Amino acid sequence: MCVTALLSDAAEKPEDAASIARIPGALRAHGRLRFEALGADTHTIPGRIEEAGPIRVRFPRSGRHSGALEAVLLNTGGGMAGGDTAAFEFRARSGARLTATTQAAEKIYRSDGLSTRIDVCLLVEAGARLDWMPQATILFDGARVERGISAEVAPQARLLLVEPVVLGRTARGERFARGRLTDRWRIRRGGRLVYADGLNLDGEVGSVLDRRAIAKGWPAFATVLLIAPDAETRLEAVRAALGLPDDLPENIEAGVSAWDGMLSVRLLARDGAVLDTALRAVIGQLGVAELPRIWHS
Amino acid sequence: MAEAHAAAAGASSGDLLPLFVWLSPAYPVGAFAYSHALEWAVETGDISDAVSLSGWIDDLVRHGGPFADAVFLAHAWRAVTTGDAAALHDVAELAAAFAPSRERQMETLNQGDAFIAASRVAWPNPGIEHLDAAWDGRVAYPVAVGVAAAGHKLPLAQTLSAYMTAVAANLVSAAVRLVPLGQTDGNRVLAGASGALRAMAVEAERVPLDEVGGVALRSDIASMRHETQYTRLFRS
Repeated sequence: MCVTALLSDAAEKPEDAASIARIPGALRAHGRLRFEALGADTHTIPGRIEEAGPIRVRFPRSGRHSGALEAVLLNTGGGMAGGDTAAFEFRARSGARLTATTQAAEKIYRSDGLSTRIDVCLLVEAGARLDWMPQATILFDGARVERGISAEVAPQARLLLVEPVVLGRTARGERFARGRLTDRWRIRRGGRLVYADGLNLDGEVGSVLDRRAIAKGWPAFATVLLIAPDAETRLEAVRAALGLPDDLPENIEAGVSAWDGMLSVRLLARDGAVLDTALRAVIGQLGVAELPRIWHS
Repeated sequence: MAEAHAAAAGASSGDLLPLFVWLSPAYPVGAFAYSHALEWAVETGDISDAVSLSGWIDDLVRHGGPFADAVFLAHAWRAVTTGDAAALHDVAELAAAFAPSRERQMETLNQGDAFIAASRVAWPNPGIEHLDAAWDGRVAYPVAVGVAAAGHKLPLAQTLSAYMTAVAANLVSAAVRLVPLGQTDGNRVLAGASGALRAMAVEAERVPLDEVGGVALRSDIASMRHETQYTRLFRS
C-alpha cells in the first residue's frame, strides 16, 4: 500500500514522476508529492522535494516556537474528482521535526463511476517527529474515495496522525446517501505492525450510517493516533480535554484508549464544526504538536 | 507430529465434532468474560430490549469486528490448507494489530492465545505447527480457530458459520445478563440473527485480506468508553 519507491529509489528512476504527468485522460489529475525534512541542530529544513501534477508544498514562515518545520500542501486543482489520484510521501530524517497539513479542507466531488485514490506514506527515522494533520476531507454525496495511510516509525521516534472526514456538505444540509469510502491504515514501528484499521462504506450508505452501532446518522468523524514512547502517559489529559467520562458535549461522541506505546482517539460529531472544535482541544492537550498556523486562518 | 496427523485424519469429511467442542462455552478461552463493548451500549441505552439488541448484533455481524474476524479466520484457514507460510504470517500479524482500542485487542489476543494453548494439548494438529513456524507473536482468536480448523481438515464454510454463530451467541448471552432480558428473548434474537450470520459467513470468504474492515464507529467508541465504565461485569 505504501508507495514502496522511496526517495532513494526515485533518484534511480528519474522518469517516474514524468511518466505520471504523461498519463492521458486529460480530465484526470494525478498529483504526487515526495518530500523529506532534515534535522539541522535546533531547527528543521526542507530537503529534497518532488512535485507532480496539481500538488504543491509551501513552507510559510510561521514563527513556531517548537522548532518544527511546517509544510502546507496545496491542491491547485481545487478538489478531487473520480479518477483523480494523489500520493504523498513524507520522510522525517533523523532528528527532524515536521508538521504537514493542507491549505484547506479537501473536497471530493460526486463520482461518475471511478474512485478517487489517495495514498499517504509516512516515514519517521530515529529521533524524528512527524505530524500529519490535514484539514478535513469532505465527501460530496456520490463521491467515491479509496484511501491508504501507511507509516514506518523508528522505535524511539514519534508520529501523530489526525484525519477528519465529513460525509456530505453538512453546512447545506447534504447527506451522504450513496458513495464509497474505504480507508486502510497500516502503521509499523521498528518493522512490526502495531496498528491497523480498515473502514468500508459502499453503495447505499445512508441507511448504514443511520444505524446505532455505526454512526446513528452523524456525518463527521475523525481518528487521532499518536505513536510515541510516552503516548500512554497522555491518556488522562486527552480524556479530560474532551470532557470524558462524564462531561462530554451532547453533539459529539468520543473515546480514547492507549496501549502498546500508542494513544488512539475516535470522534463522531453532528457536524464538521463540532468535530473541528474537539480536534483542536485534543491536539492542544496532547502537547506534542502545535496547531498548524494555517488552521487559524 | 504423528499424533497430530492422526487427530486430523480422524476428522472424516462431514465430521464437525471439533467445532462443537471448540466453540462451546465450555472451551477454556474465557469468552464469557468479554462483551465486545455491549456493556457500554447497554449503559447508554443504545441496547435496552430485544429489538435494539437485534439491531446492534446485526450491525456487528455485517459491519463490525465479528465480520472482520470472519475474514481473518478464512485467510488463516486457507494459508494453513495451502501451506503458505507467508500468507499465514501476514494474516496473523494483521489480525493481531487490527484493534481500535486496548480492550478490543485484549479480547481477541487473550482468547486466541488461550485457544491455541488448550488446542495444543487436547486437539494437537499440524495447523498449530504451521502457525508456530510462521508467526512468533500473540494470536488473534479468529486466526487461532482458522488454523486449528484447517489443521483438522474441517470445511471452511461450516467453520465460518459456527464461529460467527458462537460469537453472536456470546453477545446475546452478555446482553441477557446486562439488559436484562429473558432467556426466551435471547433465543429469539439469536434465531433472528441466523440469516445475517449465514450471509456474512459466505461473504467473509470473498474479502481479500487487504480489504478487511468495517464501519462500526460507535461500537469502536463504545469499547473505549467501556474502559472507564464505573460498574463492569465484563473485561471488554
